[in-house]
Amino acid sequence: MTELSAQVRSEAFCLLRLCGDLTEFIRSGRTKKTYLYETEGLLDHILQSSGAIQTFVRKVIEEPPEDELIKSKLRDFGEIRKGLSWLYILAKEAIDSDSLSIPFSLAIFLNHTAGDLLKPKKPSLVVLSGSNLMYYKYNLKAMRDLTRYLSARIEHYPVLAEDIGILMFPYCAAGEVLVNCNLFHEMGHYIYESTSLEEGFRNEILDKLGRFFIQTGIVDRIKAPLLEWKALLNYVSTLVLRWADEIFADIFAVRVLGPAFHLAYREIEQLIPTTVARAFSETHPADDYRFKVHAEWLVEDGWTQILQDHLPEFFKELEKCRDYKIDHFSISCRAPSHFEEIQEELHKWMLGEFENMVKKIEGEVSTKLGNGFKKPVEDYNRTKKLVTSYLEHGVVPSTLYDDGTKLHPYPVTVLNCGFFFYLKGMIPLLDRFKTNLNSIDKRITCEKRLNSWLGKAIEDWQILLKKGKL
Amino acid sequence: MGVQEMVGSMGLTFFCNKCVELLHKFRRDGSLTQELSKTCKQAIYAFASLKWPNGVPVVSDEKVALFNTNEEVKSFEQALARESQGPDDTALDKWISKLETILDEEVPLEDRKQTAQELQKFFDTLADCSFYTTRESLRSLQTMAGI
Repeated sequence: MTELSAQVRSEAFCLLRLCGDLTEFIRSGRTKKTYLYETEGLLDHILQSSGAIQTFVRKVIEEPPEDELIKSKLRDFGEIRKGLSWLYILAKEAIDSDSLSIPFSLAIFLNHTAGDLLKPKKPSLVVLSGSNLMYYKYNLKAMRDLTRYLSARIEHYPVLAEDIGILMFPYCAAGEVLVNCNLFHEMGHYIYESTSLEEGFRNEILDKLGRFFIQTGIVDRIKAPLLEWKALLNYVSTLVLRWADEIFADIFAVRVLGPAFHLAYREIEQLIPTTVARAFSETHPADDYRFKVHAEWLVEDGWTQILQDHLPEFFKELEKCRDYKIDHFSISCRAPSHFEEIQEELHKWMLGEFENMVKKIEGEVSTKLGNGFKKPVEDYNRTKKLVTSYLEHGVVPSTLYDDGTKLHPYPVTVLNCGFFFYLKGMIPLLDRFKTNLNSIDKRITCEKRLNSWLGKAIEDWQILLKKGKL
Repeated sequence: MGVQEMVGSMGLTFFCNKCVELLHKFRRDGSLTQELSKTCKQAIYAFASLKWPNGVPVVSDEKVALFNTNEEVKSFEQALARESQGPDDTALDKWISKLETILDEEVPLEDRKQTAQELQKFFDTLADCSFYTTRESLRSLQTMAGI
């Protein structure tokens, strides 16, 4: 036995042990708690992945590779171990996210909304608690790519199903409803994946950027080594595609939720007026650009007067962002070193192209929402007074009585009324709330209760829907 | 290095490992399997994509998503350097032509086997380069999450 083949053997046993531990961890965790159907599906995926790796590794132990192939087998094992390290993190987060540890009613509503939009597909949005004070999306494209690569090497390795999406919230915020509206943005990323936009944009950039370089003579002017051009293409396409994904998620969330999403975003991001707010970063479009898009869709979907009435200062700021043109923005990243002299020209071109992409994205969001999309503002206008009045009296606003008529507000109405109430309307409730607590603690207690009433109202709506009573 | 870059490099390692195994099998059995043919076409497409924005675009039904991140491009450059080649058209054309030789059944088998050996060695080197790229980054990148 050569030294390297001994290494294959010991790596193989190590992988078997790691997979065994992972399987045991999941099985034992599952016996103690209950999970949403979607989370169960993800845990099954991890178990199947672990099982496939074990079978693959056992086969290598039983039939050792020929000498010439030992190195490639070792590299396979190394990459599998890296994949396994991510499965370890995912498994821990999933096991921690039992039904009592996540925003239960919102998770079900997210799945309901996605199901409505993606019919006949049955989406499976898994809501997991993450360890950071931040809302996350798992990079599903990268995850799926990885599972595809693994399945090409490992027999029966499961590719992460197209219907699975993974959304994350800060683990302490399970009881929050309002700030968890940020999950709708993360869901937007998942919906984006179901479109063919990314592939189309990638090809478009490849084609248009090539033509731009040839037409402007940049190809002749810049003397860069061959592979540097490819590096520049990757620089441009990576940035622009990331921004496209983000702006799709924003437009989607604003159209589905209305102001509740914009306000939830403002809850987690500390924003300071500065010119930095107008720079596109490595991962996201500039804040002011995002707000410009939010503002345009809030106006388009009929929220103008409502915002003006409830939150005039927010409205004023959004109006200001609406006036920005694309040339008010810049890009804070640096092009590969050989192309520094054309950076300004290139960045201007990128922003212009991005603006064209946004138009396509807006069209695609409208297509996804479908012809039957009811603007949430309609239900809001119908029931807002009653919902607010119920909240002022500390009553869960799930069944409202209007002169003997029973009304059930749509969850999006509940969320928007809840946000306006939380930001500007809590005084009547605080006045009614008799307690010995000081004013700060009293406010905090009321905010917590408000979130739980809103969560209950959303849950009740879903129960009524299931029973056919809506 | 972000998640996308790391996964891209892992994909490149797996792809090269597969090439090494298929080319080795070809040298042993002498038959051009469907899988080897498909994989060679994918490699030709991927190598030709490195000529952007110049060069003739390669039309292929067997596209493969390699070299979409700069880490993968860097690994390729390192592999060429280890073969004492510069990252230029000549080097790319050389490897594309070798891959085409494997697919060309009119070329004598012994010559194709000889070419397969050279390609196997090159893919071995390229896989080593991308493997070490991902290895170094694992400690700094703990999750697949993004904001």
